[in-house]
Amino acid sequence: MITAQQADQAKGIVRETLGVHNRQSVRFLDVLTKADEDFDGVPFIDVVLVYDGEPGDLDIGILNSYDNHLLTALKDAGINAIPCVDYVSQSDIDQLGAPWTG
Amino acid sequence: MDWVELIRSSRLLATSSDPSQEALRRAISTAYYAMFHALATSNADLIAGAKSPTNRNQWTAVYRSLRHYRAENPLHGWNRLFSQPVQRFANVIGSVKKRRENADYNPDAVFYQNQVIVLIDRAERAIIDFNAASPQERSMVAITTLAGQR
Repeated sequence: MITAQQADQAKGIVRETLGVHNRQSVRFLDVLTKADEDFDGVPFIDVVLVYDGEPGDLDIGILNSYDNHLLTALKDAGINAIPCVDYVSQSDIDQLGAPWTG
Repeated sequence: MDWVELIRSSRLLATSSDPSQEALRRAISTAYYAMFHALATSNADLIAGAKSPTNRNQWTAVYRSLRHYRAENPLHGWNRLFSQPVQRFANVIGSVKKRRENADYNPDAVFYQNQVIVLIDRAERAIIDFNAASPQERSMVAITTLAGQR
């Protein structure tokens, strides 16, 4: 598993790479990151992108491309973890609370 | 297993009005299995040939050879060999598998309806793009995901 410090560093990388989403109409309000691993012990980094809008506002092709971009950026920074990115709308967080804090 | 039907089932669970956490958990798990079975089908079709009465046993043997660990992990190790659509498939199935582990086994995990709807849409798009990759490339994927290492 990567360290909490690397997870925090990854948060900065996520913010720097959000430009990949430029063609989308949604606005990203916050980024949450947490170091984790899957059942096989493969290091992951959980990423939650909080956006202002509804699922229909998101371009799914861009979301899937963003994963590739982020994985490369993390590797280039020496963070060997697979990003697991979730898109959570601010309205859901307002109603149900944050998924986790990291 | 038909990945289209699995995505449809997943969407039905997630898009009902006010779905329970249990429905959202099953939706995530089913979306993962849609991706897993899409990959298993592609592997079997390319290694054994399209399923027919004459190759049924071989086709099924290849189909059932795929292991969860190998469904995405080896593709990351060889990611520079693969096109963007195949890399996207590897990344998305990895993410959905990770979420599926939480959905199936972590009683403390909380899921939002809109989050799950996006996850299902991403899984569906990743499968469609993957299936559009060339047979040669998907044959490489089959070898990479099925061949073990000593």
